[in-house]
Amino acid sequence: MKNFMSSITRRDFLKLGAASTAMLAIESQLHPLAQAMELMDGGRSVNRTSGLPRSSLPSTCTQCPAGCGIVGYVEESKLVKIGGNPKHISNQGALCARGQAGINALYDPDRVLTPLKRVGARGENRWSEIDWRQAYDEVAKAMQPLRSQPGQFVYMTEDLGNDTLGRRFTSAFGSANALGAAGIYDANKLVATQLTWGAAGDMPDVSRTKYMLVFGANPLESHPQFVGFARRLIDGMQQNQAKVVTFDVRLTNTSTRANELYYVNPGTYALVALAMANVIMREGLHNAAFIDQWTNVRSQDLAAHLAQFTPERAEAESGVSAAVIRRVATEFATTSPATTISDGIVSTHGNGTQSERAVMLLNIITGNIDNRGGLCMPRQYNLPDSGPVPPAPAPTALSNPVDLPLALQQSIDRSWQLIRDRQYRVGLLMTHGYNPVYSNPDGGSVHDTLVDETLVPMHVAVSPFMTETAALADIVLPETTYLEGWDLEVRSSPELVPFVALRQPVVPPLGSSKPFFDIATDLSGRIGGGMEQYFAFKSVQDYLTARIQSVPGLVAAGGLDYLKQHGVWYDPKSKPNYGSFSGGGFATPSGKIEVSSARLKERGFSALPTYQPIPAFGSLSQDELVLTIYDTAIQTDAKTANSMWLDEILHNNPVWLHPDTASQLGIKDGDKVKVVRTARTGQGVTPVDNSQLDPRERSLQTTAFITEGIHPRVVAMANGVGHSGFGRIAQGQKINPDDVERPLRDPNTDLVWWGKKDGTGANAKLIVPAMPEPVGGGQAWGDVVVTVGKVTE
Amino acid sequence: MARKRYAMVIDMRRCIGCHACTVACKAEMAVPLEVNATWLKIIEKGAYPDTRRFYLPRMCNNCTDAICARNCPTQATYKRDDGIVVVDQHRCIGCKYCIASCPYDTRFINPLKNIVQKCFFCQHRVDAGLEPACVESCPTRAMVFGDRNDNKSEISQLLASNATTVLKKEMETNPNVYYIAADETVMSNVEKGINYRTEGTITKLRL
Repeated sequence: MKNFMSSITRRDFLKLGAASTAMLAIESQLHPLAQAMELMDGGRSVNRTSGLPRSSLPSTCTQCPAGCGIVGYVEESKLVKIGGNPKHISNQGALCARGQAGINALYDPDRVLTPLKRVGARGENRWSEIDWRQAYDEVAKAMQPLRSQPGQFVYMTEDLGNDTLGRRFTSAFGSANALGAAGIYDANKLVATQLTWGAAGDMPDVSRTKYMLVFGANPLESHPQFVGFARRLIDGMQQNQAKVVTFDVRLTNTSTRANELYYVNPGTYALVALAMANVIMREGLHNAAFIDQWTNVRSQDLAAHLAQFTPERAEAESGVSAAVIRRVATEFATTSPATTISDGIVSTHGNGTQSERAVMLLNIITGNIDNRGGLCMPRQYNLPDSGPVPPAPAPTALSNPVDLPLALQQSIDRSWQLIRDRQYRVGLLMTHGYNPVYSNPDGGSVHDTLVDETLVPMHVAVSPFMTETAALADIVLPETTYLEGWDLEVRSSPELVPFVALRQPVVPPLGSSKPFFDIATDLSGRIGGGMEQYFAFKSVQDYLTARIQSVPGLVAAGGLDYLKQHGVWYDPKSKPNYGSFSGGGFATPSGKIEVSSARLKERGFSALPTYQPIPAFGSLSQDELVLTIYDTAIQTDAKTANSMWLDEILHNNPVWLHPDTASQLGIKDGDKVKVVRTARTGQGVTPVDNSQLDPRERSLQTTAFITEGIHPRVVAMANGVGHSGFGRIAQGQKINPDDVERPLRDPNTDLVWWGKKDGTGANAKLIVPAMPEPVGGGQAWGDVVVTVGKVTE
Repeated sequence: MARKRYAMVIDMRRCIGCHACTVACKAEMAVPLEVNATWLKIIEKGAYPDTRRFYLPRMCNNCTDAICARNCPTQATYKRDDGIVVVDQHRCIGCKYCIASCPYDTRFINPLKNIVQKCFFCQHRVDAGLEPACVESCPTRAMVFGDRNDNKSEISQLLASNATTVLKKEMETNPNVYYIAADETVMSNVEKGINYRTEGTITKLRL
């Protein structure tokens, strides 16, 4: 019986206080069967009938990007429960709905458990089961001839930053085309922060702040560190009495919690932020010493630049009153510490990178940079790849798109455009845990590209599930789910103390599925030609052990064995090192915060943070509305819809309409409606003329949800539902358990009720064209203009 | 040792409506689809732009004066010494009197096992010294569970230092689930006959 948890948890520590002598005495009383003074809040689980402890193993969740620490509880080699790992510094034993529902993904009745080869035309979704030997032979046979033009091997993965093995495999083959999908998520924010303070991303110190100014972000539903960040944000509000003010286009779980919430015209966040910065400078509320010492601009020059953004102009364009802008700006500047929060929609408009910089500016001019309770730089271990590392291959038009030189990662939108338009020749495409037919803008065009064998001669999908994208493969290699494989998982720490976590199998691989390490190792051996030397590790544990050598504290604590036992390691003596820049400055060309960016200027963009209106938004006609696609805490984009516990909660996505808008359009709550994208989408913002880029799908049908919680000129739809593949559960279909092999059999699959009753929604991203934002290269999701009309049958 | 009296406090100032408790309960108690022993009621109030959303995690109140236990003809439903209201499945004859008599609509027939089910405050976990699954999972520590008879417990201190409300106080069932700062409207209208209904993430309950 494994019981890796010590019998004292974080909350118990807090309850017991600092009296360490008392602690030892009390610890014994916390043994589960002793009459405990207080109940334990995590790390153990017992059988409902026998009361006996379940065996447990710590690991890491990847149901969303947060990477929370989990504990898998197992009975008779079946995973029976997933809980939070109380030792994890981010989620501290808590776990969201998605993390707990991971068990549904593991036992998805439609999981692929055997390698598959397509029968008939690509996309017909007819398959024959083959063995791994044949699968490897077929892939190797197709890849070997590409060794002379290795750039024709294209590897696409959802999260390149956490797919070190995929990058290694691609580089070992000689191709630079290990492409990540960051471009469709937060690329513009990463570019904005990198340009400004020399680090990609941010981490507002929300538990220790006194004032939070939230622009378009919804961290209580969706955040890169969801549980850890939401917990600390609420701590900040409740324990630290921090005030929260939000600006958004709709009511969210975050804005409803705010002390003050303001609806803002879509795409105008930067104008509100710059007007506040203007007020702060004019009123002399700025931190002149900080600006002079740590930025590359002079206060008076910045004030002169900001003078154009008057509160009155901001009121006219954003809809937020000048009086509110003045008052909130004053409060922000005179409350210390204070921070902004700006994940999400701020950076996913066509003016996203500059908007993100405009919001950062508020922190900069008030000195709320990397301080306790301010906007902090991300703290995250960087674990370099180890062993013989393949040399960096020559860049390609996909890996380094010429028209987006500031992009930190490739623009995955642009990659698909180049392939579709025959500007880049692909020999073999491998997709890994990435479902662009669902996730990308204009998935219909991605679908058509994948179906066309002259564009993609061979497609190998590495996936545990028959996703919309895997269904368009020639070979499907059944990877294990995250619960059956190994990797190191590092993330930006919401506690600002960096950590290293482990993902390890909580149950053995089901069927003949294999972890990606095995697939990459086996395949490189079969392809040969020298690439196998980069996969000469004795085992995955050897490989991971080599990678953690760069963290001496972890090695001293026991290295991989420590991680296998505890799931996570961080320096127990470590505290947030605020003011981390004070020694060596910022990692920018000037060593300072680059409020004025020479790199932006070189490319013809404004050097100083600015506001660029979205052209169509200022002149919307009576029937034109702006579509916003929002994330929830229930579904993660393409990842989670095969979890029935999640689908039961969120399975469809009616379009939100303001009552006045609905009444003008003659639409009633529950009516069937058609949402049609108009040609004004993305107009004039991007370097290519996107009005020419008509997505294959121009409209969708859904029902109307009439709500007082949305801006009258905006309509909203949830992300994560509306699947046309990804198995029957994701499509709301019942499955007779008698037709399912053990261990995937679950009588609940016969009770799936929502598909027939409510439907499974529509994938709103299908009507969105690919629109890389010109500065950062990230998709401008927010620039979609639609009309909504009642469907009469 | 003094007799325990278990209770739960849900602090609505901390609840973010994330449904972690909903899924924790499904997983811990093997609650089938179609029914829920813990769920989240969500309403929207106010007119644009002064709109707010209110949540209410719902589960069996494990009432001190449990009507269900009083009405059970076979004593299958009974109160444990620590206050948790449980169902002895061997004595249950499936007459559904308890379901009809619960003012909070928290009992249901498990469609796979054909037995009466509800929230038992995770009695098996409590007996093993663990908190209920929903409490453990809660991302923002909105839920606190413990012994009301222990003055030093976190729950006793919370109850002592905060105003709380319970559902349908007028029924004099003396619920053991307390809410801090719950919205009046979301607390009223404890609907009969619905256990689970959502539209997207927004419950279609308009007031």
